[in-house]
Amino acid sequence: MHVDRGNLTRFSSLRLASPGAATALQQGDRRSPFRGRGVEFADYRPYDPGDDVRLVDWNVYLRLGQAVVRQFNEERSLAMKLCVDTSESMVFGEPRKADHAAQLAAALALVSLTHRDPVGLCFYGGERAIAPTKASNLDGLAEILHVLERVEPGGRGDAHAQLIRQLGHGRSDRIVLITDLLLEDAPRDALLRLAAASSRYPVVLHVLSEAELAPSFADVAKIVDAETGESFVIRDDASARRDYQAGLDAWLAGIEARCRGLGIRYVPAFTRLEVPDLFNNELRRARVVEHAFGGA
Amino acid sequence: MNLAQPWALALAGLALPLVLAYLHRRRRTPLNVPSAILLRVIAGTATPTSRAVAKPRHLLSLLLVLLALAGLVAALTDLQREDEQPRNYIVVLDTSASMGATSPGDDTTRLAQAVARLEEAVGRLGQQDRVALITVDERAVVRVGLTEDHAAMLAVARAQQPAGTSEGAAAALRIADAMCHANAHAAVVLLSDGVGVSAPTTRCAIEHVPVGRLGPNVGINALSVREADALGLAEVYLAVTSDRDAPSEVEVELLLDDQLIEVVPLDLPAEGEVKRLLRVPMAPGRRVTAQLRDEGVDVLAADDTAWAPRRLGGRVRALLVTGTRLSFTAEALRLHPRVDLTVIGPTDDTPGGAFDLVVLEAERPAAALPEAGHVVALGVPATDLGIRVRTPDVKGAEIVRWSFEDPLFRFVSFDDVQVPKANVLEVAEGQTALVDSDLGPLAVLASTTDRQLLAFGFLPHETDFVLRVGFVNLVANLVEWAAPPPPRAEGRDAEAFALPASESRIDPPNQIAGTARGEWSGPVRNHMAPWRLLAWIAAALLALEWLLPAFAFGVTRVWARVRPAAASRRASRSNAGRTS
Repeated sequence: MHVDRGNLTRFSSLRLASPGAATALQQGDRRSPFRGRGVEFADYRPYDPGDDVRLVDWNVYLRLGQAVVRQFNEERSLAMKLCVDTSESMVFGEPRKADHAAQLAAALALVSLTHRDPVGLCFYGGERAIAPTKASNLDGLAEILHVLERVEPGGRGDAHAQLIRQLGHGRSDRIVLITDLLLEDAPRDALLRLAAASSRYPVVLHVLSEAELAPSFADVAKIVDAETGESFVIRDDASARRDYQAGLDAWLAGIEARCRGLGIRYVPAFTRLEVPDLFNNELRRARVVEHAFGGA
Repeated sequence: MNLAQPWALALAGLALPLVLAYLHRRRRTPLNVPSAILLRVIAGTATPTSRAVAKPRHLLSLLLVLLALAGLVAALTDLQREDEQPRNYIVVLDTSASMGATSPGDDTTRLAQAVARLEEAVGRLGQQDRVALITVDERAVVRVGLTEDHAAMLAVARAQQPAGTSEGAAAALRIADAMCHANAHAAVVLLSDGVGVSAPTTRCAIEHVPVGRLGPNVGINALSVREADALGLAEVYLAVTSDRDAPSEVEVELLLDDQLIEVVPLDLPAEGEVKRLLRVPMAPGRRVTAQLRDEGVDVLAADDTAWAPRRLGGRVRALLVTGTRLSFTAEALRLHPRVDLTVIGPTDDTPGGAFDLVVLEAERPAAALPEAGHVVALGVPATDLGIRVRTPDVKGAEIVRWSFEDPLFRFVSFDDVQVPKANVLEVAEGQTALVDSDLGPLAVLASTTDRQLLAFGFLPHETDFVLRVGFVNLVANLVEWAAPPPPRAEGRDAEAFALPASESRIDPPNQIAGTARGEWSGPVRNHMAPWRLLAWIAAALLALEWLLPAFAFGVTRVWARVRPAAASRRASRSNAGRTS
């Protein structure tokens, strides 16, 4: 897949938006539900042997004769998992949906790593299993980009099973599925449910190309599905385009409704939109990213 | 449309494959799609035929293509209406001096206005229209033959300068008429102020496009100089014409070889002419110039100056044969500034060398005379020179006639001259009697191949004629008669110039007879024929339909390739900047 590295610098002023507390193991600058070391006082608890005596509040001990230790809100990073669809259908489009997805993943990784939010990158849906990779700071960005550029979509695999293997048992703060969702209803629903279960703030970036949004069927004898090999003829009359458009709208509306039902943030990321525009408009509006220094 | 226009045939032949190309759809091919999920809603039941004659998918496009094709074919086969045939315009441009006139408050000359009109009219012509240019001054000159190179013709027209008269107008219009007659769809256009222009009878109609407006003008229309006497007095004839509505006063400066010699004040009547004959003493010089000095409005500068050459004879070698010491003739000849006089007695030796004039006051044999081109015998027999005496020694002859128009008798009068004694001469064949008395001829002129002889039958100093100024003038005339021809003047000294009054009267006439006044408003090609316009529109739409999408597609492809490279270059530059 192709990543336009020159364009990545345009996203350095953004950072990942966190709708709630961050839970990554890595220390960061986001509020977390954990008590521990920090600067913001949270609570007292009774002293247990082994606690750091520096945390004992001696004023309280002298006043009450009871040793208590001060607890602080810990600040953690926001862990994000990027899952990129590498099925055969991602090869299509101009520009290719896979390239668009890679650019989106690279940009999100940059945004995340710039603010020390760890990123995990995995691939699913393709014929070949690709090992996941991860990075916790900007030093790991090169590896992320390298993997993205090395991977080529193709074939068809069991997306659900592959994603389960890639995600493991951990639960990320945010999981971002970058996919065209061109799956039958049941596998697609399973995939969405898996994403919803694997993260507290799941996001789907729906990548569709112009060939799918406004296809041309001139001089077409029959349709052949690149992944399944299914083929059939299509109607050659004036109502065909109208019916296709209606079917497409209903399909998109169904996916969006299902995502909303599962608590997944659905963001159309069609290839007709430039990645910088997507970040500055759709992704900011969906609270996936935000400006690092505040403001609209 | 025939075999004479093979390209038109070929283009017309393109119509059939074009229509077939539009009516036929390409072979149907299977289409690979990322997923069939979305397409199931338009799944059909029957497979379309692989190659079928379909309905015209782009009826408008097909119509435009056929229209454009028809336009091109029509253009190639020259399907033009009669009034769209290329025209031939023969332009007769007046470049006479009056075209140098300006208008009050406007320094643009009439010639410049005419050229501007020409440019304007040519700008409206079509590319296939041809234009010829004939200029008019004293002569008619075909400057440019019929040509489609309008720019070259205009360049020639712009290079013209106003000068001379309009004498060549008739010839120019005849030439233009011949060219007009020899070419189809031709017209003659006369660009002129009409001053001094007359049109001959022509077969083609002449459209006269007038230029110039009324304006006051004063000009010198005649200047001539001749020697009044042998003593440096010259006669200057001067005529000045005024085209003003009111009387005015002007001055004319006379210059001899650029030296001011006289200022002549003139009172000019309204729209009138003043003629003056002036006697002006002049030193030797070659050229007299008259320059008008006028404070009023004068729209034509070409007639404010006139010049005339001055013709002075050379020196005259004269031999006087006289028997008296006190000869009036000798004194008169001595007074003449151009005479080298030799005086001898009747019996003296003949001096050597040739003479221009020999004057005999005493008898001397012809054989004893030196070689001379002119011989004058005053009262002595000249029988051996060829003039015989008919009646000798007549008394009291009264002169009744003399040839006062003969240059020999300019400013010479024999009225009441007392001739007490004279010989009546005989006029032989080939001889001319110049002075007649009641008794017979008293002066006879004879010519031979090598000499001219003038014989008087009386001696002037025996009459009272020598007491008159006419005698001195007669001697001066004899000197001029015998003077060798002056050296031929060359160059500007030989030319005389005074703009004729016909050119100086610069008010444009209302109508030149034989022409039609117009604005050169003939068929112009600034509009486009409807069919041609339609063809162009069709071609433009075709370009929009065919070329623009292809262009946009190409640009998109190129941009998609260029953009990442440019972005990476920018990034590397910024990284380099940060590093440094």
